[in-house]
This record gives sequence, structure tokens and C-alpha cells, in this order.
Amino acid sequence: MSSPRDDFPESTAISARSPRMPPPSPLSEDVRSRLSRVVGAPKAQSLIQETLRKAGIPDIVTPQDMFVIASLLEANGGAIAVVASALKMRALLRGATPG
Amino acid sequence: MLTHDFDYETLIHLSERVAWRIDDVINQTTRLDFQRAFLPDSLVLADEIRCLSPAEKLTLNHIRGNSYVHIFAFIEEYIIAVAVRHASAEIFGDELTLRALLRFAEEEAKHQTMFKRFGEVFAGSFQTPCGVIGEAETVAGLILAKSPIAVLLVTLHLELTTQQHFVECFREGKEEVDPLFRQMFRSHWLEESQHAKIDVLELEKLAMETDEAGLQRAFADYIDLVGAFDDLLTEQAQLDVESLSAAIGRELGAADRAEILNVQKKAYRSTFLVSGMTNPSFIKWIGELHPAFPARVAEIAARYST
Repeated sequence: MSSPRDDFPESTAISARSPRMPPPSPLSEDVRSRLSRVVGAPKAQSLIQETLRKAGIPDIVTPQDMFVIASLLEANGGAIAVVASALKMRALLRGATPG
Repeated sequence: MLTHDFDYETLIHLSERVAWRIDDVINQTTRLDFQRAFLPDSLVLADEIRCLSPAEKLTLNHIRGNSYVHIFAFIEEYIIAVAVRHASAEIFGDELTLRALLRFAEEEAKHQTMFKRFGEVFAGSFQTPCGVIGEAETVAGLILAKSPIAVLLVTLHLELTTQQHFVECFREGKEEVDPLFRQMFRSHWLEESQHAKIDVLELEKLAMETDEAGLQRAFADYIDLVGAFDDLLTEQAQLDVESLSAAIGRELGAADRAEILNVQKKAYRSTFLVSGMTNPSFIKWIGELHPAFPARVAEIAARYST
């Protein structure tokens, strides 16, 4: 018997994820959603993957992860840096510590 | 997690409906009426002081009115920074939340300007200079270094306090006070009503993403901030006694000074600390954050009530 989730068609946003992978964390989803608004979904996805690799973390689960990723994203400058700055503030409000 | 019946969109509409301009409250033609009390005596407790004549008690009321306004201008310094900080976390996020927070920040900056304008009018018309606590930016920095949940708790505490003062003391039909003061705090109250609710919405978001240790740390920070605020209030009470002595033109003896200072410390604590910590809405929301918090706050409020 298939689960209800199996009946949904796969969107491009989730097709890159293995069916066994857990859904993205709320913090990860927030980063993806905000970046998508300024650079589009495909570029946002690749930026996140690249930044996660640089940071050496598998996903953005904690406010500290978000702070680390946002700090690295800032180096891109422009609108991405504006998003990164907002994400850093969000992370700090939720208990991340700088440095 | 926190029970309420409002959201950011409703609060934006309310804020638009009650918006006012500083010039409509206090402007270049404003003159202070020193024949009237500025503050309700329930906030000053001048009637409890035996060593002052009725005229001297009225002078104390004017000094306390100036200090009361200054303290709000002083705390707006960090509240503006809090609102901007929360707004900047919403850039490219939720648009309604961003808009509500930006209005919050702008309104707080407006309140601060109004209070500073009052301070200038007072300084220009009161017979002698009055000392007020300083270094608002340094204090703001110290507050903002605490847990963001604690900072929101203190902000909610203060915003509920000012609403309570207006409803219980300043409003028409309550105590007799100067119409300018009533108008100033009516205007303030109209917008603070939305601000307290925004505090609750922001508090709810942060609390939902923290654990037991984070909540306990925030509560300890809140208590620390209340204690630090008490120190500032004591400093202001001491300055008020000096200002009173200069304004009434007589050197107060040690016993008289002690009597005035003790009553004023009690009045400041009751006005700014106890009224917030015993506010029913504050108690309800902190109880929803953690069931142990109301009893702990009640214990500290009792200590500040003696």
C-alpha cells in the first residue's frame, strides 16, 4: 500500500532530493524561499548546495547553521547579501551566536 | 502557543486607523500649565510625603512628570532598535510582518520625538534645571545583548504598563491631570496597544523555536533587566530629590530627603516594575510560555512592592 505522499507528482523543487531524504527543515526552507525571491529557484538551490558544501554541514537545521550559511552567502554581495543579512538577524534572534 | 485573537494584518489596519501627528499633540505654541498636576498622584504618591507643603508637592509632581516622560523617551531608544532588528529579519520574508514591524519602529521613533519635544518645552519653562538619567544608547546596547526573548518580555512588560497607566490613571474621569499630559499619553496608548500585540506575535515565534534551557535563560535575563531598570529608577529618584530641592529653594534636611527618596523609590517601582509584573495579560502570556514563570514573577513583584 502506498503512502498518501506517493500519490503526489514530483515538483522540480523536490525532484533533486532522494525519496528517502527527510523534508527540508523550516530554517532551510526559509533560506531557499528568500533566496528564490531574488535569484530564482534554480540558482537559489545551487547557491545553497554550494554554501552547505563550503560550510561542511549537510543541512540548515539550527539557528547556528543558518548563521554560518548566511555569513558565507554574504560574500556574494548585492541582493544575496541583503537576504543573507536578514537571515543572520533571524538566526541571532533565535539564539545563534556570532563567531 | 500563546492565546490571542490578532495577527499582523489586523494590527496594520488598527495602526492606520489610529495614526496621529506629533504637531497635533505638542507644537511650538504649546505652553505648560504649572497650576495643574502633570501626573496622577497614584504614580507620584506625593500625598504620602509629610515634609512637603501642597505647593511643594505640586512642584514634585511637575519634576516627576518630566522624569516620567524622559524615561519613556529613554526606553524608546532600545525599543526602536528592537523593532528594526525584528523588521530586518523579515526582509524578503513575510511582507505583512515586515510592514507591521516597520510601522512599529516608525511609531516608536515618533513617540520618542514627541517625548523629547516635551522635554525641551519643560526645560524652557520650569524654574530650575532638572536632572535626568542619561546614556540611553549605552543602556540600549546592554539590553540588546540579552536573550532576544528576554528583550521582548521587557518590552511587552513596559508596553502593557503604559497602557495600564493610561486606562487606570490618565483617562478622562480618572484623576485630575493636565490636558496636555492626558493627550500625550492618550496618543501614546493608541499606538502602544498594537505594539504590545506585535511583541506577543514576535515572542510566540521565538518561543516556538527555543527549548526549555533557552526559555529559562531568557527568564533569568528578564529578571536581570528588571533589576537593572530598578537601579536606573533609583538613580532618577535621587536626581528628582536634588531637582526638587533646587526648585523649591530650600535645603532639605537628611530626614526629609530620606522620606522623599523612599516614597519616590516606592512610586517608581510601583509605576514601572510592579504594574508590568502584575498586569493580567502579562501574567497570562508568560504562563503560556512556561507554567512556572507567573509564580516567580509574582515573588519578585512582591519584593519590589515592599
